[in-house]
Order: sequence, then structure tokens, then C-alpha cells
Amino acid sequence: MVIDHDDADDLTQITFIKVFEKIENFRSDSKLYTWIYRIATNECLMFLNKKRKRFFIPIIDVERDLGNKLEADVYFDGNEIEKKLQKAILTLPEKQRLVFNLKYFEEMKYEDMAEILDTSVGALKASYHHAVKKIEESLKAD
Amino acid sequence: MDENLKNKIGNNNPFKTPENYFDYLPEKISEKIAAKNSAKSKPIFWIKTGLVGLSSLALILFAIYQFSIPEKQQQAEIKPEITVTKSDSVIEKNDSSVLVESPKNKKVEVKEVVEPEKNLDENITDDDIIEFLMEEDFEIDLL
Repeated sequence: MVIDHDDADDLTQITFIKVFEKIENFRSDSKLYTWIYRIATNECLMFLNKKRKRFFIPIIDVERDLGNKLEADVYFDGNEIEKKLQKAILTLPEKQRLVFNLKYFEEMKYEDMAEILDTSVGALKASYHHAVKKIEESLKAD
Repeated sequence: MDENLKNKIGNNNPFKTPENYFDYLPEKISEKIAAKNSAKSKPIFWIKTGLVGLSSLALILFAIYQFSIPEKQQQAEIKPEITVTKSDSVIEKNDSSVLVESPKNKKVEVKEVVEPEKNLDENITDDDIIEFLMEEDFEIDLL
């Protein structure tokens, strides 16, 4: 989601710190891993929003900035087509990007995703369907 | 739905982590938690510093206020100190001399006393004093 390894590292640590601080608040009505994922996704979205506000960057430019980071990222281990896929994913809105990543790369169940993102299964399915369509069109155009 | 994409590109995560990243991650997290806990105590230091500063400022302002009050001119009405008793015949005038009369040998001794303070009421003259003495029935014993 954030592309840059250092940002991802910070967010990972922040996530686990919050898990450590708030573990007493965890209720067993949800799975532990979905609860942790929820903290991680919230931190990630907050980070991207903060980045946008801090530098007064419009949405498009944040994604362009991430695309540029992808080019220079030493931890990106994919080929050219995978790089194009990542750039196509960056054109999606943040929440839709999240849905796509969780479904496509993590192969997460919609029910678990619904717990993490607090969205209905139907809405998530629709969102993922549209995301796939957009990416396919983007890759064809490229 | 996404089979086309998966067939063409695959769904492996193209991002890799540094070597032994997860081995050092618990240590990094512990350090951050410790740093966070020590940072929590800092506000207490700043609160104390702020209180000291405020109280110092209050003292300074109070001192300035005190000194800025115009001094009240002490209008001490210094009346001539006259002590006359039945047995003694000491007449002190509010000037540099003291007239002492003894009932026995009628000697008059003049003693010098400390000059009166400058802020005495200078309207009282010797005549006033004598007049005062004459009005009052003082018994003067001669030495």
C-alpha cells in the first residue's frame, strides 16, 4: 500500500505497538488476526492521508509519488509486468486498492475482509470486481 | 473474476523484506515502546518548569507593584518632647538644648541633644512651647 520499505517498516512497528497497548481491549467476538489487520489497515490509511495533508498534495500526485518510489525501490523483486501491475493498482482509490491487495495477493475471504474494513461482503465483492476491470483496462492501455 | 490477471501475471507478492527482518523486529518494537514510555514523563518536566516560571513571574510582578506604589509621605507630627514631672524639673525643648533645672542649687545645665529630624513640623516655635508650658500647670523644681 505504501510502496516504500521504510514507511512499511514504521507502520508495521506502530501496528504491533498498538496491538501491545490495546490487547486488553480485544474482544473475542472477532478473530485476532482480523483485529490486527484492522489496526494495520487503519494505520496505513491514516499515514496516506497525513502524507497528503502535510504536503498539500492532491490525490493523483500521492500515487504518482508512490509510482516513482516503486521505480527506485530496492526491495521490489518483481519483473516489468509486475511493476506495471503495481502502477495500475496505484491508480485505484485507497480503499479499493486495499480490497484488491487483500483479495488478489492475500487471497483473503470476503467475510474476514468485511470484519477488517467494516464493510458488507456484497460491497466488497462489487469493489473488487470493479478494481479488476480497471486494472485490466489500464494494463491493456499500457 | 481475476483468473485472467492471475494467469498472465500471477499473484506473488513482488515486495521482499530485508534479510532477518523479522528476527530483529521484536527488538525494534521493544525499543520504540521504551522510548514512548520515557517520552510520557517529559510533559511532567515541562509542567513543573512552567509552574516555576509562572510563580517567579508572579513574584516579580508583585515586587514591581509594591515598589510602584507612591511612598506615603510620613507626616509625623513631631511635637516637642516635653517631659515634666512633679519631682523632676526637666524641660526638654525641641531644639538643640535641654534646660535642666535643679531645685537645690538652681544650676542650669544645658545639654546638647541630637538635632531634631528635618521632617518635624517647623511651625512650632519656642514661644509656642513656652505658651504651652504656661498654660499647663507644671511644677518646676529647682535643684
